[in-house]
Amino acid sequence: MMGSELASLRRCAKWVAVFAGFIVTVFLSVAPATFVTLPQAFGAPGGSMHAMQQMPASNAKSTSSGSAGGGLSLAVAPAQGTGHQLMLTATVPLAAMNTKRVSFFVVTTELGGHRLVPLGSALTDSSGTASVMYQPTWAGKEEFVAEIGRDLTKPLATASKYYVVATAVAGVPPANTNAPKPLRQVGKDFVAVVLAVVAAVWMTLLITLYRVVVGTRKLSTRAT
Amino acid sequence: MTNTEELSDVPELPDVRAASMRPVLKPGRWYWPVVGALVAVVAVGVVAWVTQLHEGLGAAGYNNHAFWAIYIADVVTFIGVSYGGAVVSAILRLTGASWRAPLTRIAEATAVVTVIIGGSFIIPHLGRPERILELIYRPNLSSPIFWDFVAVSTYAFASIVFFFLPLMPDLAMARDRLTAANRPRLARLCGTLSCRWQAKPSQRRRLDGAIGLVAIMVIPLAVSVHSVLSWAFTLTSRPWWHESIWAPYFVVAALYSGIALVIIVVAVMRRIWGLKAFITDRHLVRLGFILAPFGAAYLYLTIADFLPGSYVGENGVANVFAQVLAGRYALWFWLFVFAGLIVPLLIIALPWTRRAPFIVTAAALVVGSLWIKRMVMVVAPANYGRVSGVFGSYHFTWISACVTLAGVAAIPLLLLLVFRVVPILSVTEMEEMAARKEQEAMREGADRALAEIERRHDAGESLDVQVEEAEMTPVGRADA
Repeated sequence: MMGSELASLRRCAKWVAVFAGFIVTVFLSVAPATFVTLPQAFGAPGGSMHAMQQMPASNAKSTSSGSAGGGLSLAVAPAQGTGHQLMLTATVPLAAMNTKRVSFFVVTTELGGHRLVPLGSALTDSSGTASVMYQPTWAGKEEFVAEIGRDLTKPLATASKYYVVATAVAGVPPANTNAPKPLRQVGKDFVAVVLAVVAAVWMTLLITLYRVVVGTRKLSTRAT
Repeated sequence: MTNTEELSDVPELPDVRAASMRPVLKPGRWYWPVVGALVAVVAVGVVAWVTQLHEGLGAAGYNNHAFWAIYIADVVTFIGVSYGGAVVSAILRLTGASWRAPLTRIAEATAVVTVIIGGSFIIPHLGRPERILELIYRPNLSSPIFWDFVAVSTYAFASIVFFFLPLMPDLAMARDRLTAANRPRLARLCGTLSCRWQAKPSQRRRLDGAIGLVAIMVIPLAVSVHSVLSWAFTLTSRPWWHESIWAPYFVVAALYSGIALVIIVVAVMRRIWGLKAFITDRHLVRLGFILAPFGAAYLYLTIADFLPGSYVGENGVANVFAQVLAGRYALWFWLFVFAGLIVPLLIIALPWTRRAPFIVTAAALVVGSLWIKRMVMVVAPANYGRVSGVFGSYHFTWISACVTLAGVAAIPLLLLLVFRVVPILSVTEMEEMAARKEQEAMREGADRALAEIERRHDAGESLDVQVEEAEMTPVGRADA
């Protein structure tokens, strides 16, 4: 191999190394945030829309319980009259003394390892229950988690429950299928404008061609 | 970059007029056999089309599912490659790139030829081609085909004007050469088309102004043509055809494949007609440099097109993407990615493959792969039944293959015939560039001498410096 090619190879390798270092640095700096935010942005639009708002405690209902830790139980059931949304209800048996904030999550493995995607939080009512509504993003078996009082390392109490989602958000028929077409009212005018532009282009080309052909002949004739 | 460096690619011009007239006067022994072979391929295509007219579109593989297929892919491909020739020439003219001079004629001729062939492919796509006249006297304004017709015909006319205007001075030169070579009929034709060009400054000013205006108009026209082609897909109810990214996606694809075709045509023409003295390897490498960013842009747009649709999983789009990325079309799609994007980009990026033969290979890969990509973009969604959710099938037949091959053969055929009539090189432009090069060289020599005089004056030395009188050659001196 020629010396110049070796030098080119070395230059290429250097730039590849610099580029790779840049990519790794960027990845390491944004990865922790990405793993949390990407599923929210892509994977859980229904959850992010509905769950981040705090639900009034009076809406809370408990239908069944999941695995419990610290006395916390979780129930998942279809919400009444809301299409295909789910009602996640956590119950704290000893909560009558004071109000607690319960956070709800769905477990995901999208874009990486096993982790929790926040769906929202709610305060317990006098009966010790807190609820949020969630529009499932994916169909199939999903694991939901409820937590109370997460500190830096772990929650004070947690409960989880598996639930088989029958219909994901993509499978829900849209409520409004007859949306008005924004350009409907200007259809004829728009066509007229476009045709006028096309006519202007043709006229410009024809006039340009005419000016050159006839002008060149005239200029030549005058000179001779 | 100084002007002299910029002009360093302008070739010396001892034989530029003779070389540009070589295809007209002495095309070579191979010329007529090759033309005959290409005519035979086109004739087979015409026979296939007539057979299709007799038997119906089903003979070309069309069916209830595949209502759009190979001919639409051909339309998009051929008009796309036309875009490259016109826009490359227009951009190089508008930016004043001096190295463009030997390439512009070939690029502009390629643009004209391919847009005519591409536009013609809509005819075999129609089951009742005699109805094509209804586009003119009974247009349906809500039909995408009408707007395709408007856009393509406007762009085709602009391409022809853009090809013709810079040709006028060279036709005057060709007239004189043809008269001397005792070819009176062709000389008369060239004389008529040259409009009595005498290279007068007033004629030159008028022509330059017109060329500049048309060069500016060609670029948005070309963008509009390919945007309208993509919107024709949008108006048809199939998944993946409604993506908002498709208009720029089509435009970039057209530029990418068009520049690649210009590279191939330039390389072939310089080889068969011995133009290596004027079109050097550096020209091809520079065209490769123009090709690379469009390849990178197309790679990015491909990712941008597929990633969201694949991840979200919307009905229909997800089904089509599953077939394209991992199903029955996967082989073709990944072949396009590898041969049409990765390999060409690597060839241009790596210094030891950045040579004319490799660049031409990369260009050939791009043109072939982009046709495959367009087939996938047309056939996969067309085959998907929106109601049933199942895919139909589409298979090539000898008829559709022959018609497509006829279109491919028509490109070199028409180019060979065009350059049998008009000079293949833009002689006037090349002579202007050579004159500019000469002027710049003289100007730099004079500047150096003046600097030397000033230095000696400041140093109190003798001012005995020989300065040759520079005779400034007027631009376009050799046009008459």
